[in-house]
Formats: sequence, C-alpha cells, structure tokens
Amino acid sequence: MAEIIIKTENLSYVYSAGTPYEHRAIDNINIEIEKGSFVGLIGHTGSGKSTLIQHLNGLIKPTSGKVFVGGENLWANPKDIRKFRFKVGLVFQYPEHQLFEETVRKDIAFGPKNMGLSDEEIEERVLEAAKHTGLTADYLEKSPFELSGGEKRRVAIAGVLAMKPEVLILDEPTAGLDPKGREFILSEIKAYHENTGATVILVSHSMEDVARFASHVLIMNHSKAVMYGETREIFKRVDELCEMGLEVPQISRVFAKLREKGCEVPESVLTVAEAKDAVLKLLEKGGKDNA
Amino acid sequence: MLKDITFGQYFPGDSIIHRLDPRMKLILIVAYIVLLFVADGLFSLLIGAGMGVIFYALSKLPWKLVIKCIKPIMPIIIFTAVLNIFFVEGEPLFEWKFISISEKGVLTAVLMCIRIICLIAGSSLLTYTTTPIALTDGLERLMKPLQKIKVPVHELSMMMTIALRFIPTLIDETQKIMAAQKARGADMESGNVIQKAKALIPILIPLFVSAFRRADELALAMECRCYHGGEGRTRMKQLKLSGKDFGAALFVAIGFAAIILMNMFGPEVFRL
Ligand SMILES: Nc1ncnc2c1ncn2[C@@H]1O[C@H](COP(=O)(O)OP(=O)(O)O)[C@@H](O)[C@H]1O
Ligand SMILES: [Mg+2]
Repeated sequence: MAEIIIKTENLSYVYSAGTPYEHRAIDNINIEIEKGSFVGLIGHTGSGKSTLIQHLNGLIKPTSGKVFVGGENLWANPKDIRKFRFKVGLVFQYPEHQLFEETVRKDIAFGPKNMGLSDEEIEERVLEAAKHTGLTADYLEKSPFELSGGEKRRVAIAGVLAMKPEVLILDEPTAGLDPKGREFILSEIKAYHENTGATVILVSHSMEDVARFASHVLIMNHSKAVMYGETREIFKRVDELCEMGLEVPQISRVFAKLREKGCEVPESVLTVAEAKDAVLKLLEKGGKDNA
Repeated sequence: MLKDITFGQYFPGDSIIHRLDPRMKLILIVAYIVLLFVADGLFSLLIGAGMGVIFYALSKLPWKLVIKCIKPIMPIIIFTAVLNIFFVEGEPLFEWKFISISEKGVLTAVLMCIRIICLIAGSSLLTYTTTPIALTDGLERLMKPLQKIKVPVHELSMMMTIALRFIPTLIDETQKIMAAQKARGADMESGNVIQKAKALIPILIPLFVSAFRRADELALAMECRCYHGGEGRTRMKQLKLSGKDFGAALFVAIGFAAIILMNMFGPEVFRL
C-alpha cells in the first residue's frame, strides 16, 4: 500500500459554539489520502468542504479529532504549525482577492519569502511558478490589480505553487471563469501534479472535471464524508449519488441507463473515449450475434 | 477573536421584546440609562438591575449572552472599580501605609460596576433583539423633527443602515483574507511592533480594495433601482405602536417611579 500523506481521525468542527448560530460544519471525518493521488472533493454548497480543507494545513483548529500530515500530528506542537502551511499549500476560493503587492513578481514571492529562502531561490521559484501558470515575463512587472479576473487567479495560484507544497489543495479554482479559463487552470493543475508528483485535492462542483482528472473521489454530504474511494468505484454508485442530489457525469448516467435496459456494457465508464470503445465493442458483438 | 464581538449582533427570536416597536425600544433604553444614573443608592440601583433581568428573561435569549457582552469591557469595569476604591476620600475603613480605603470608596465602586454592567447589558439587549434595519428605521423616525433644521436625517440613517449591514460582511472578508495570507505563511503573531504593523499590509490592502469594489457595486445597484434619497419615499414596513409597546413603557415608568421613591424614602444605608 502506498504511503499515507494525509489522515484525519474523528475530525469534527463546530462554528460559533455556544450561540444560537451553532453549526457542526464537519462531523466525524475519517479519511486517508495516499501520497501522489489526485483527489476530487465533491459536495453541495454548505456541506463542509471548505471547512474540511482548512483543517488540513492547520488554519482551523479542530473542535475534536486529529489531523496527521506525513504521519505528524498537526497540533502536537501548536508553535510549529507554520511549517505545515508550507507543506500543504491551500488555494482559497476566489484567491484573486488576496493579492496585495505592487507587482506580480512580488506577490508570487510572498510565500517563498515567508519560508525564509535565499533571494536566488525565491527568484527561481517565482519564475518556475509563473511558468507553471502560463504567466510570461512581461506579466511579472505589472501590478496585479490591472490584470483580468482569470489572470489574477493565475497569479494567486502561482503564489501558492511557489512554495512547492507536497500537497496542493484548491477550493473551487475554476468558479466564475469562462470555459477557456477553466480548461487552462485545470490543465495547469494536472501538469503540476504529473511533473512534481505532488498530492492534489481539488474541490469542485463539476463531476465531469473530477471524472477526467481525479484518481480518487471524496463525497461530502451534510457535514459527513459519505464516500471515499477510487473514481471508477464511486461513479458506479449512480443511484446513491443521485439520491443525494449530486450530478453524476453524463456518460456514467447514460451507461447506467444502458445497463438497466439490458445492454452488456462495463460498469465504470467515465470519459467519452472509454464510452466510444464500449459502444463499438457492443456493436461488434451485436453484429456477430445477428449474423 | 473578531468573531467573539457580539455587540451589535442580532439574535433572531420571536419574544415580546423582539416584537416591540424599535422606536419604543430606543426611547426606553434611553430612559433606562437615565434611570440607572438617577438611582443614588444600592437599593434603588438594584431595582434598575432587576428591571434589566426581567427584560432579559422576557427576551428568552440565553443568559450566556450577558456574560459575552460584558467580557470585552471587563478591563474598564475593573479599572473603574480600582480607581474608586483607592481614590474616593472619606471615612477610612482600612489603612496601611499610604493606602486608605474608605467605605464611600467601596460603595461608589460597587454602584459604578452595577451601573456599567446594566448599561452595557441593556444596550446589548437592544441590538440583540432588533435587526439593524429596524434600528435605523426607528432612529430615522425619531429624528425626523430635526429635518426642520436641515439635518439630513434620511441620508444619515441610510449611511448607518449600510454601515451596519456591511460590518459582518467586512469581518467575514477580513477573516478570509487573513486565512489566505496565513496559508501563504504570513506570520501575524511574532515580532516587534513594527514587524506586526508591517504584517497588516497584506490584509489591509486587499480589504480596502474589496471594500471599494463593494461600495461601487452597491452604488450602482441602488442607482439601477432609481434610489434618489429620502424625498417622497414611502415605506414597505409601517411602524405602528401597539398595546405591548405601551405596556413596556408603563413598566419602565413604574420602575422609574419606584427608584425615585426609593431615593426619597428608602433606608438611609448604602447611599452616596
Ligand atoms: N466562518 C463561519 N462561521 C460560521 N459558520 C460558517 C463559517 N464558515 C462556514 N460556515 C458554515 O459551515 C457550513 C459549511 O461551510 P463550508 O465548509 O464553507 O461548506 P462548502 O465549502 O462545502 O460550501 C455552512 O453551513 C456554513 O454556513
Ligand atoms: Mg466552499
């Protein structure tokens, strides 16, 4: 079995405890994430996704339960919590709202600077992160405030990539972008995952995106982690997902219906390419039967 | 930290206190504060405190909220108490070297503490049980006569409404930005004063940018809905005084009378 990079034990968190607004945002979460996997985190708005991921780099202290990163208990020594922020990079939802420096270069350098790296190392990382996010050299001297929304977001993501985190977590990184911008960001994340071998957790609303990129899927519903497993296995459970009101990838739905109608197609079809193969195979077989 | 500030926060409910007319609540809270200062002895002040307790009980809010609103001003209360105990002169009760504590000092301290606690708890109850919108609405109506002397009452109350409406939003925003910068390793706790001030820059700049953006959007949205100030504007929710409002007024009036009577005819002990 592969090495476990992130593990939670009975993790729970309650917002505004002791007031009428008390709310249990995550409830008894137990997950183990393997090193190098690409996890898609899916759930309705308010199901506790953002709250969960903020536990993984120690931004939120659990109400109860434990978080382990690389086998170390995050809150064993609260003074050391900052080191986990560099290990587990977190890109918030709408990260473009966090930009503050005069130039894009300085803003990307904020994280590495906080790590206490040397100037050369910082420069090197800024350039690398900029390359990863498709920001060319002429962007680096611009003010982040004069960029377009999509460009700002790329700068913000570069700011986290520059810390070279072992685990990269992104909270709905494509929210509010046009299809081209979405595609661009997703492919950059995929490339980062493949080039560096980092573990990636992608919070997303789009089943299609998760089906295409993720090796594992974690489903949250009403503050609980209801399913966790390999993407294929999860998307086989079409009925359960639909019951929770979650969208299943179109292709999976079509094939579930086909199987219902008695066609012999494989259970786990996720992408259009796989669907094509399955349909062709079926047709071939059907042709033979008729002959 | 930020989220522990409860002053100005509304706690929804359906108690009789929640349903009182905001104008009446505003007038009564002013009367209550005056009454706290009219009370000149322990017994009359206890009547005032008792009224506060009854109001809280009627509001059906958790008692924890009282403690929560007192907590932030605890240093002020302690400071006042210490100041009064040591520096009010009178018949010494206790003497040691240059320190002398008088009976009058202790009494003043106790009365001041009760007064401050009642004052804060009372005004907190007002905001706990009244939505900011209802509150500014009530204020606007009460200040209406000032329009005669060219005070821009409507504009002032609109400004207040907007400010109150955006306080939680901005607190929320601040927390999000802080979390985002912490995720990039920003260190806000350690270092000397200058380093700490510098650490605020990554938070303040995005906060201002977003506040200006919100203001812009809001102005545009208001214009799109043809907002043009207070002239000729009618209201969706008409405020109307009802039986319970007069009941509440009567209750406070009786309390007021009781305190004045206690001041005049009550026992002569524990008086200032
Ligand atoms: N700062 C906060 N204070 C109080 N409640 C919060 C806060 N942040 C989130 N919540 C509540 O916790 C629940 C989970 O929120 P969140 O983790 O943001 O969900 P998701 O990211 O899945 O949409 C929601 O019901 C939300 O209202
Ligand atoms: Mg979220």
